[in-house]
Amino acid sequence: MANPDTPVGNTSGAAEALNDPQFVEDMRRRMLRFATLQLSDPHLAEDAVQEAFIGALRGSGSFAGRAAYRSWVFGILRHKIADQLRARTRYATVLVEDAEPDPTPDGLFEQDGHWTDDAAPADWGDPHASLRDAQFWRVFEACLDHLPGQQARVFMMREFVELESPEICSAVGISTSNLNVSLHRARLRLRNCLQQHWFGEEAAPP
Amino acid sequence: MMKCREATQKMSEELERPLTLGEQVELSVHLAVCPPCRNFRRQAAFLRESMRAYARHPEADERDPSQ
Repeated sequence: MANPDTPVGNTSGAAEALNDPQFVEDMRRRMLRFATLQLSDPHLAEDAVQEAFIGALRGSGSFAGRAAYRSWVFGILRHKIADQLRARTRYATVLVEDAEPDPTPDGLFEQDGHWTDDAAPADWGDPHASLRDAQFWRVFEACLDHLPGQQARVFMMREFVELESPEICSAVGISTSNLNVSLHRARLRLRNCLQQHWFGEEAAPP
Repeated sequence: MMKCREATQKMSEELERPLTLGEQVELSVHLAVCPPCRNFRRQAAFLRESMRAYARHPEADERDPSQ
């Protein structure tokens, strides 16, 4: 398995982290939630999480703290899930009935297709500074958590697991247009959520 | 003439496939007169960047209350 996330740092965050049952349990729970959403199968998800932990133990590395360790184990899981989903595409030949995509949130557009005053995208300036702000990531994660199930699933496949569109269509069994609708709506929701809770002038945490 | 709803749809698809020449022209004409949609385009690209950062960088996942 290719592991692009080379651990860095000079303190052994792994050993320290693994000695804290609460940290391990919290990490396991979050990994399991992500894997279950992606694979739609609790047993396969359980296996993938298990394998990611084992893979992490095999790789001897040192980590600059717990967050680095968690990020590394999560990276291994991400690659396992990508492999699993890609393997599915090989024998997923029958397109299942397209489900109706989760809806666009209300209140973004007027009847005539123009932005409503409240939802029109404002100027965020240079948003990149936020990427170094821990509070931003809490808001970002909360916004991701608010995406409806199928939108969250395909959006994470596309942007987090980094599968290509055709791979997602055959792994999930949906048409390209259905996928595009879901991605569009997920982007509208996520953008709107970040504007409301982080970038907007009257932003308040969710 | 293309409206904002359809423009955002094209800008989302732009991240998935190259738009046709006709779509590009229609979108450009809309963007020329629509600052909110110009913001949307930058922000859609930023969403992709931040998802990749979220996946890769440990500091993006720092939540330890002790730090």
